This record gives sequence, structure tokens and C-alpha cells, in this order.
Amino acid sequence: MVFLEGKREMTLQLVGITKSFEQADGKSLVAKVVLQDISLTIDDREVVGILGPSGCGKTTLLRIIAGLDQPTEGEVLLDGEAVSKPGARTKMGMIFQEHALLPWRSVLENVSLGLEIQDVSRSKREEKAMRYLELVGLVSSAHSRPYELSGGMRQRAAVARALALEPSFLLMDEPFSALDPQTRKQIQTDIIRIQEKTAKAIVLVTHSVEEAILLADRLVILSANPGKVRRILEIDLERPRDSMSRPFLEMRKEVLGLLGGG
Amino acid sequence: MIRKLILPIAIIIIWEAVALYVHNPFVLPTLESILSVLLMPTADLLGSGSLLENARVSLFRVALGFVIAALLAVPLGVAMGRWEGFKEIFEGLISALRPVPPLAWVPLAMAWLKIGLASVVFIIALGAFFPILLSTMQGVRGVKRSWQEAVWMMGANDADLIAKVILPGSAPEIWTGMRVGFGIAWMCVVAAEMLPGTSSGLGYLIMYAYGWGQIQVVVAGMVAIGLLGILIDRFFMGVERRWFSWRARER
Repeated sequence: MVFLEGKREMTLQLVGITKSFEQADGKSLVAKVVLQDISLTIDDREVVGILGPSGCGKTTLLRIIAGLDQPTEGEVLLDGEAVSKPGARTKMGMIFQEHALLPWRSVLENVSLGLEIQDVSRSKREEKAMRYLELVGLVSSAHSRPYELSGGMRQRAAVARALALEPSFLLMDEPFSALDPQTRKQIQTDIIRIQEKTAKAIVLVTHSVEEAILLADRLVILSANPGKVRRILEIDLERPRDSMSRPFLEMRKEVLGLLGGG
Repeated sequence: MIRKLILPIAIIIIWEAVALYVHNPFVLPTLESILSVLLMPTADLLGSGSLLENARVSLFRVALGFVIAALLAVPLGVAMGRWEGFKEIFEGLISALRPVPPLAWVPLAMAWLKIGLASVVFIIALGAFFPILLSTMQGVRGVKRSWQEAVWMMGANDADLIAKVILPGSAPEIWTGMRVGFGIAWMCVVAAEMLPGTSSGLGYLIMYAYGWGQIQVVVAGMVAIGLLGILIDRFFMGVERRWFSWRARER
């Protein structure tokens, strides 16, 4: 099974992203700055974790990267082109916190939906969808409906769906926070395996420090009110990472320290 | 099971007893006379066609009116549910017209469209229109944002979103609206057929039979009307169970 098809290297650039809302404060409208001047470059094949206290705007930031929300200032460039252009979306796959699978479609139909929109023929898209279902370990559930699956399986299906269009970047918004700890651990391991196999870049928003250190090559730590980049940490722990090992725990301490001062 | 049969059996016994006592077929026909009409649905009744014939005519009218209503209400409902601007333009008119019972439109319908199929279908369409419109709007608004965003991320344009997310996502509500709309349409057709100007259909039949004192035909006609209404409702329910069971699990 070949997944590493010779793709051009792509870069995701955030240039001076600022996002503010108008909020009512008594009688007047006050600008509430949620994100301020965030700049970041994410390379092909990198796993970048975004961590921060609640309210620091990390989900908003991810949505801006995906093109679902617009920044007040600044822009997001995928390979030099603005992400607001229609073509950019398919180069990014998004996984939401709640799986967002369409309940009236089977798992296979959900995973192949992106290919359907791209007008790929039925046999080709089913074949491709099955490949990705195999990768996430859901082949036997291909014809089940989402409501017949457990939470972990649904998220796997969501991953397969995001991968089916073979995007260069995977955006994940706290994808495993709704799962129980055991399932979560299992799927984290799977994500590492999948990432190595498919060599995607991943931008992962999470509020679990362990998860971030486990998966990421780099950690962007945001502070809150307004959301600014506090620090960018390189995580150069060797893989496979053991969350019980000394270096891991020390890294965790450091990150918690940085978060605590938010 | 027995509990369900108590009332029907009691009604049958009481009816027959009272009918025999009163001994006046112009007021309370015996069950036997009613049954004999029902068991010969193809026999001509009073020169105005058989039970089956008139049922066919009523069904045709209601189907026509219903389809017209659906073809207008669903697209409008999708537009009003999806785009706030649309909603603001139409909602004033809709809320003004909605409380008017369809049958109140009969005089106007006759003035505009004259006596005949057109005015009857107009009333039926009016009856079915509002429930379908409102349910469609509600269904569209209830389509989860996350579904739309997920599909948008896969490169869908507006048309794709409507075809692949909005319509399938709101289909259960639209179907429920259609079921309610049909129920109203069925009542409208029977009532509209009772008014002067029609010469066929189940509503016409029972009115005509009353005029001739054939009350057993009236009651038989009512049973037929009720039976057809139930059967069609069952059809709607069956489809809902087969195609839209996902909606209940989603909740």
C-alpha cells in the first residue's frame, strides 16, 4: 500500500493573524481581541501542537487556518496562496471534536464523500475509501451507520474521511477529548502510526499536555486574553515516546510551567 | 390486545342495538346496511358512481394539490431556512395567510377559478402548503453546522451543500411536514367536495347520499374516507421508519 506518493512540499504560513470581535460592554461596543498577531510557519510532515488555557482562542485559530473563519487582520497562506481561495480547502483535512459524520450515510459513504464531491467515479472512490478504512482499522464497519459505532470508531472514521482527499495538512480540533482515556490512548498511538505512514503535517489543538508532547514535533503555547504566542517549544524526544519516561516528564513540567503563567 | 378491542366491540353492539330499537334508517342505519355498501365497493351508488370510483377521484384531486403544494413549499422552505434575507421577505405574508383556514378560501377560489377541478385543487394545495413549508424551514435550520462545515472543507460549493447535506439532513422534518400536510389536504378535499359545484368524489358522495336519505351510504362513505386517510398515513410512517430512523438515534 503506497501512501507516500511523491508530493511537492507544502508550507502553511500564518502571517500576523489577529482576530477581534465586537462585544457589548454596557452601552458601547468594545473590541475584544481574541488572537493577536500570530505568525507561524508549519512545514510539510511536521506535527505542530497548539496548547493554551481555555479561552486563548486556539479553536478560533484553527478555524482561521481552515478557512472557516476570517481573521480581522493578517492572512493564512498555503503554499503562498491565500487559504480563502476555494482550491485550498481540499489540501487540508479537518477533524472536529464531535465527529461530524453524516448520520444518513454509511461509514464508507461518509469517507468517500470528499471524492464524490470531486466527481471521482464510484468504483475508484470506494476503492480509495476502503484503503483508508483499512489504515484506520475500520474495514469491517464499512457498511455500518455512524450511530452503530463507538465514539473511538467514529473518530477513526472521521480521520479516514479527512485522509481520503489526500490533503497535505491535517487540522485537528481537540479530536479525542470526548473519548474515554483508554480509547484515547489507543487512537493516539494509531495517529502516530498513520502520520508516519502517510507523512502528513498535522496541526493539533488540544488541552492535554500529555497528548501534545506525545504527538508533536513542535509545541506552540498560547497565552490568553488576548491569545498570543507565548513560546514555541521544540520537542526533540525520541520516538516512540514513553509518557512515563524521565525526559517526557521533564518536558511536561516545563510546558505546565509555561501554561500556568498564562 | 383485548383492551384494544373492548371499545370497538362495545360501539358495534350499542350501535346495532340502538339502530334496531330506533328502527329508522334515515337516522341510524343498521350495521348490516352499512356493511353491504362497503363490501360492494364497485357497485354503483345512486347513479353517481361506485365507492371505488369516487375514492379514485378524491385521491387524484388530493394528489394533484399535494404535489403542487410540495413543489412550491420545499424550495421556498429551503431558501427561507438557509438565507435570512429570504425569510424576512416572506415571513410577513406567510404568517398573515397561515391562520386562514383553507376552506375560507373557497369563495375566492370559485371567483378566480370558477367551479371545477382548479378551485378544488387550489384549496387542497393551500391546505398542504403551510405545514410543508414550516417543517422544511425548521428542518433546514436544524441541520448541524458541523456537518456543513465538514463537507465544506472537502471542497463543496453551495449546490453540493444543499444536495448532500441540507436536503438529506432535513428530509425527516420535510417528510413529517408532508405527512401533516397530507392529512390536512385529505380533509380539505372531502370538505371541498361537499360544496356546490362538485359532482364526484367521496365528499360529494356522502352529501348526495344524505340528500336521498341513504344514511348507510353516508356512514359507509365516512368509513372509506377514514380508512384511506389511515392507510396513507401508514405509508408516510413506513417510509419514515425505513429511511429516517437515523434522526431518532442522532438525538
